[in-house]
Amino acid sequence: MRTLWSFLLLIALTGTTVGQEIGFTASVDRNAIAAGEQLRLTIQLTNTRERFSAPDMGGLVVVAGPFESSNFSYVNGRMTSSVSRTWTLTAPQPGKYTIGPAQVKVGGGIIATDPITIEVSKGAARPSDPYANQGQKSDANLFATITLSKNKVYVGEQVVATYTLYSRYNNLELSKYELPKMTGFWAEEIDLGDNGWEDRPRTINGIPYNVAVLKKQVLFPQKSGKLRIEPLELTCTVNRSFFNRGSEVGVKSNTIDLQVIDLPQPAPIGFTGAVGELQLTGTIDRQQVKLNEAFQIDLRFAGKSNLKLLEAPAFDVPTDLERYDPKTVDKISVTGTGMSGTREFQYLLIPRNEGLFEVPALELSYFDPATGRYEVLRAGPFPLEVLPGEGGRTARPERPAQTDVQVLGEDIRFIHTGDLDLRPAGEHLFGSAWYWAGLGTPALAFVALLGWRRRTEAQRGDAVLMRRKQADRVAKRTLQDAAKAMEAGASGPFHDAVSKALRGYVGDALGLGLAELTLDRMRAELGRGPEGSAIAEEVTRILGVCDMARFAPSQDRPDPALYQAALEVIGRMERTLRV
Amino acid sequence: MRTLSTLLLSLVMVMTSTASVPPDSLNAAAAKAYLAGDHATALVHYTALLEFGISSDLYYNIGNCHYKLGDIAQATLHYERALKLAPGDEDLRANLELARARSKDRVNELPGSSLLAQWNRLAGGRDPDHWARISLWSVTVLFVLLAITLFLRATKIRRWVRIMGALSALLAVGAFAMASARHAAITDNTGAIVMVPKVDVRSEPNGTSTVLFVIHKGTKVQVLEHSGAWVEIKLANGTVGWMQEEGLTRI
Repeated sequence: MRTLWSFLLLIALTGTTVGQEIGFTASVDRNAIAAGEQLRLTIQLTNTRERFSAPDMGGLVVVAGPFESSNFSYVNGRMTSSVSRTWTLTAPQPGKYTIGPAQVKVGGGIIATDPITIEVSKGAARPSDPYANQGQKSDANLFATITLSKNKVYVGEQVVATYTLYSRYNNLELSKYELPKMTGFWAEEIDLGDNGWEDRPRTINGIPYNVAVLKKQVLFPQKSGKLRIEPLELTCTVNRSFFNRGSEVGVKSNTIDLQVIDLPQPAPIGFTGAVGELQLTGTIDRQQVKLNEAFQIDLRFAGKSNLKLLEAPAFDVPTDLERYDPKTVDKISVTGTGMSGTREFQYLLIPRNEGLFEVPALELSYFDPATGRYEVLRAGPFPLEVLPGEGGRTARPERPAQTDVQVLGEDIRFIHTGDLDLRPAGEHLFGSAWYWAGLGTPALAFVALLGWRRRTEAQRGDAVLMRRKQADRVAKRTLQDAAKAMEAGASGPFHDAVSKALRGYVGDALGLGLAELTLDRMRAELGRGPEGSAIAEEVTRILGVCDMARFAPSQDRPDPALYQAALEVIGRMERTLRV
Repeated sequence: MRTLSTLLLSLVMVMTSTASVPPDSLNAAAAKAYLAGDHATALVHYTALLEFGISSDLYYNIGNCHYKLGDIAQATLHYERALKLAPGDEDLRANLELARARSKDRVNELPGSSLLAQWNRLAGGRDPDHWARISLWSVTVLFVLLAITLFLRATKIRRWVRIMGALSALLAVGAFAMASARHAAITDNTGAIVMVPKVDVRSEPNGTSTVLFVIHKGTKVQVLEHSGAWVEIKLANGTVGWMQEEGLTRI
């Protein structure tokens, strides 16, 4: 019963106190902060249990709260109760902020707190991510960013793109997301392993966020100019719970532009296309090798670059070494810092001839964006001694194996640089007046020579020679008369003609007058040898027969034997005199 | 009218300017440009040299310039012109072979004609007047020998001189025959090169008859007959058809 009394008393007391001392205050722990720092706002309501509304925060962001606490005290018969709510606030940007009044209805009236002005100075805070700032401005609870490790790169230089999701929701599920299309890039995914929310929240302008790196890529721009990366778009379901189906929130990240600079031109000979940091080591596995035994030259590129795009360099070897297509061995890792590792080209070579060889040095170059210059890589030269193969030198013939001369190219032959020997078109030696003149001149000259000779001989009075030359012709003409007379059966003219022909011929041939045609004289002229006197006697005999017939015409018919004998003796004399 | 006169004036100026440069220095300048890889300039110089006359070497050099500039049809044309003058030039034959290999049509020559070509090469030499000159020399020698026999008394030597005279008479006749054959070959202008990208060769000299075959730029043909603007042509493989003459340039 006493307890009941005391309870009633308490109520009565309380009722009496309500009307007396109601307090409603708002306070902050500090009035001036730097951007990104936090402050605490406490609103306290004393001696009443009415609910009060939260004040307008005036642009300040609630980091945490409200946390509610109530206090009850009974001192010296006076009972005090108070309720207080506390917020943790921050301001992303510097400026002057005003926390508005909080209001509470008590009895018939309204009590309000005083507004509080907060000065936010520019924080000495670390420079925060501009894209995160931008995203935070559009939606402070959920945003995504794309960031690049560099904003200005050379063609082929690698740059890492990071896609990050910032969230203040406790419960978030990604329902859909679409990665931006990459145009103008060659992209290589970075394996993030077991990715999820990061353990520690990241604070952006004082507001903590749960952060998840969705994806990282190494990008190699393939062309110069301004390359734009389109925004990352995703849809999340937030605040899903057993009781709540949650709500869908769309997120669109920033776009980002990458400035791509062309490599300086002209690129040196032997430029591999690699951009970054690169080292080249060339090794040969043996210095001495036997004939027809394989050996290997390794070219190892190591460094941070677009190694996967590196092609096997054109590698000249002496023709007596047979080269096979290189084997490519990669140890390339793609991490958050980009692509790095080694790519090794293994060339298998087989010597086909003995002797000392040198595989010439290989000179390549790559572009170093740090210095902005082409750097030279060098490997070799690789000296090599090829020893005789199995069976020693004696088993091989001394003569080296011959190969055909290789035709390496085909081109027309060089111009003729000498005198061109130009002549007017359409003019030919053959058929021209000069040609006919050239042909005719020697003939004419010859005829002229003949004529000249004949004239000089006649002038020299060499009548004997002339007579002799013509003796044969004259005799034959006269003998033709004799032949006619013989056919006509005229004995007189026949013997006349034969006699005339013979006398004329002998006279002309021997240069004698008709009176001198005696046997002795003829013998003297023809004399030398038996042939001469035989001819002389024959001539004398024929002339005798003719004279007999002319002066004593006993024979009626001309004798063909006589004619034949005359012809024969002229022929014999001709031969004798000619020699 | 004024344009015509300026044209004439410029033509005269060009002619005088080329005429004022001696051919030797033009030739040297062309060779220098060619060596330096400036084939277009070399071609201009060599073409200017045509004003002074023709020779197989000049045509050969012009053909080389065209070849280097990528105009295979023009190169073939000039090589063929040079070949007419000097069928025995080795370099010329090698280059013509390459030019023919690079032109679009491959025409297999008739089997008989390659033997003939071999003979032509032997008969032609590098000089168009080769045989004409030999015939002149041999006739001269023949008559000199005849003149010697007039004055010779010694019978033994006379016999030798007679044998040599007979030989030179044979040579003179042969060389004359060769020279007239070469003359006929050089003055023959039935050969032509196709200078348009593509020509339909038809069965009759009109545009509606059947297309027998198609030939392309750079192919050599032989013109057999005329009928208005149409000519009857024959390919090296013996195929015959009609085409319009404007697509041809005579060798």
